[in-house]
Amino acid sequence: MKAANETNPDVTTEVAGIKLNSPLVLASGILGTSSDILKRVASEGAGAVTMKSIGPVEREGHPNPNVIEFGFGMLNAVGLPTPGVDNVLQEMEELKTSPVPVIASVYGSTVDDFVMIVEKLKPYKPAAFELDISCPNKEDGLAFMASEDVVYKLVSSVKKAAGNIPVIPKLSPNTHSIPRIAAACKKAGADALCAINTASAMVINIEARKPVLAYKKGGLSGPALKPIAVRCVYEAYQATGLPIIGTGGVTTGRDAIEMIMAGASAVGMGTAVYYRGISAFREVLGEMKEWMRNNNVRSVKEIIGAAHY
Amino acid sequence: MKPEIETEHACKGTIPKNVPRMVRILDVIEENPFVKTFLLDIKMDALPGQFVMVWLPGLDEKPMSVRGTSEASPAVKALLQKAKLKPNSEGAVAITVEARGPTTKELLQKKPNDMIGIRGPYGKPYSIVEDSIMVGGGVGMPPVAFLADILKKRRLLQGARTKERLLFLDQYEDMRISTDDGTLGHKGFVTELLEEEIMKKKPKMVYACGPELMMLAVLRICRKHRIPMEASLERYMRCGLGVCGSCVCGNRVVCVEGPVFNDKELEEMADFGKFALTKSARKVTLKEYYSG
Repeated sequence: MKAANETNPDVTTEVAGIKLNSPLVLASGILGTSSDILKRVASEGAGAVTMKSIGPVEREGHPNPNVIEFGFGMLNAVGLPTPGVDNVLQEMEELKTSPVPVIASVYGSTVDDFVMIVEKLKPYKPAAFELDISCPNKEDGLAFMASEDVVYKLVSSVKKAAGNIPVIPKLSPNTHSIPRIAAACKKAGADALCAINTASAMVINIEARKPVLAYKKGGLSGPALKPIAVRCVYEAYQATGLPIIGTGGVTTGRDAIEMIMAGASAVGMGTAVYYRGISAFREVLGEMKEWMRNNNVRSVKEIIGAAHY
Repeated sequence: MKPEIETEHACKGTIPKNVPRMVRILDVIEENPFVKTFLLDIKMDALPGQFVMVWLPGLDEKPMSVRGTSEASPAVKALLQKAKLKPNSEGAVAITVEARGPTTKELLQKKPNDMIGIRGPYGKPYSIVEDSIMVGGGVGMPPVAFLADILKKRRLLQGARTKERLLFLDQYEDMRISTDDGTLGHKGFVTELLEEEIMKKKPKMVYACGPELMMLAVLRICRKHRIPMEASLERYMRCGLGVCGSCVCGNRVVCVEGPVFNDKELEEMADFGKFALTKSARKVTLKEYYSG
C-alpha cells in the first residue's frame, strides 16, 4: 500500500448533491458577467462557477469608484448591476455547455422577485440557485438578514418554486446571529449555505476628505475578511450541519484547508483573482494537494469540519 | 506565483497603490475645441498603452490612457519646459481627454492647481517594435502619440472626422493626416493611408488605437499583408483590477489582460468589432454601446 504522501489526494467534494471535481468555486460578482468568461474560468480549474447576481430588472449599479484595493483587501460597491433576468436567458442557454456546474445567483427586493426569477431560470437547469440576501451595497440588500422569520419566508417560497434544483442562501456577516439565520434557512429547506458575503466597510481619502467609493460604503473582501468568514462558517456548520460553500478571503491552499476545517464542503474564491489572476483556481488546488500529501490527508471530505471539538 | 499582499505601505502610512491619490494639475493645454491635455504632478513609470483611473471626488472615476510621461516622452517634457513648470514630484504625467459625458465635461473645467485623484498605471502596454506604422483615430491618438515618442523608426498616421478634431499637429511634423471631409490631408479613411504606407515599405509592426471598427479594418489589412499588429480596446470599466467583469470582451478581461491585444488575441475574441457590455453588463452591439 502506498503512503498517502505518494498518492494523488482526492479533492472531489459534494455540495447539495452537486458533485465537484475541485472544491474551489468562483464566487458571485467576480468576472461572472458573461458566458464566455465563466466558461474560461471553468476551463482554468474552478470546480464550479457562480454567475454575477441576476436581478428582476435591468440595473446599472453605482458610479465609480466602486472597487478599490486598500492594502489588506478590497472594498466594492458595484451595486448589483444586472441586465435583468429576461436579458440573461441567452447567456443561460450558452452556459448549458459549461464544463463545470454553474450556480445562478439571484437577488430581489421582495419574495416575489426571487420567485419570479427562479421560475424564469429553472428551465435552463442551473446546478443550484444561490440567494443573494447579503449584498451590503444596495439600499435593501440586507433586509432578508434582519430576522429569522423573514429569511424563513423567503427561503421556503423559493424552495417551492425551484423544484428539484438546490437552493443555497448566501449569508452576510452583518447580522445579529449567524447561527439563528442559518438555522432558519435550514428549517425552510435550504439545501446548503454559502458563507459569507462581504462585510460593510468604508475607506476615506484624507486629502480629498471624502470616502473613496462613490456609494461611500462598500463590502470588504480579501485577506482582511478571512477570519470573520472562518468564524461565520464555523458557527453555521455548528448550528445546521448543512453543506457550506465557505467564502471570504481565501487566496492560498492553506486558507482553503482552513475554511474546510471550519466546516466548508467547498470553498468560494473571488478577490483571490485580483491577487493571483484566473490561474488562482489551479494554483490554490495545487497548494491544497501539496498540503494534503505532506499531512497524510487522503481526501478533502475527511477534513470537513475537522476544527470542531 | 504567491500572492503579494501589500501590507507594507499601509503599515508605514503611505498610500496604497490602488487607492486614488490626489495630485495637482500643473497645466492645461487646449488641443482643440473638444479636447484638453492635463499635465499632472505625479511621477509614474507608465508605458504606451497603459491607462490611469482618474477620480473626481463625489462624481465618478474613469479610465484614461496615458498620453506620456515627462521621463519617457520628449513631447511631454517639452510641454513642461515651455510652460516653465517644475513639478513637486520630479515628474509629470499627461492625459488627453475629450468631453463626452458628465465626468469628462467636469474634468475639462479644471484649471491649473486644481486637484484630481489618480491611480495606476494599469494594463498591458504596447510592445516596442522599431520600423512600425502607428494608426491613431480620433481620441485614440494619445497612446499612439506616446508610442511615437519612444520609437525611433516609425511612421505616424492620424485620422479624424474633420480638421478641428485633429490632435498634436504641431508636435509631429512627419505625421500623415486623413479627414473624413477632406478639410486637411487625405480625404477619406486613415486605413487608406495605411495601405499606401504598407505598399511603400512593409513595416515590422502596426499599432492602432481608435474607433473599434477602424481597428478591425486595420486588423484585416495587416492579416492580408501578414504583418503583426496590436490594438488597444475601450470597454466600460469599474475596478481596473481584473475582478468585476465589467470590461470583458469575449473571454478576455480588458483591464488586466489588455487593453492592448495582438492580432491573434483579437481574432480569438468573439466580441471584438461586434459587441460590448453596458454598465448593466448587458451585451449589445457596438453601435448601441457607443450611442448609450
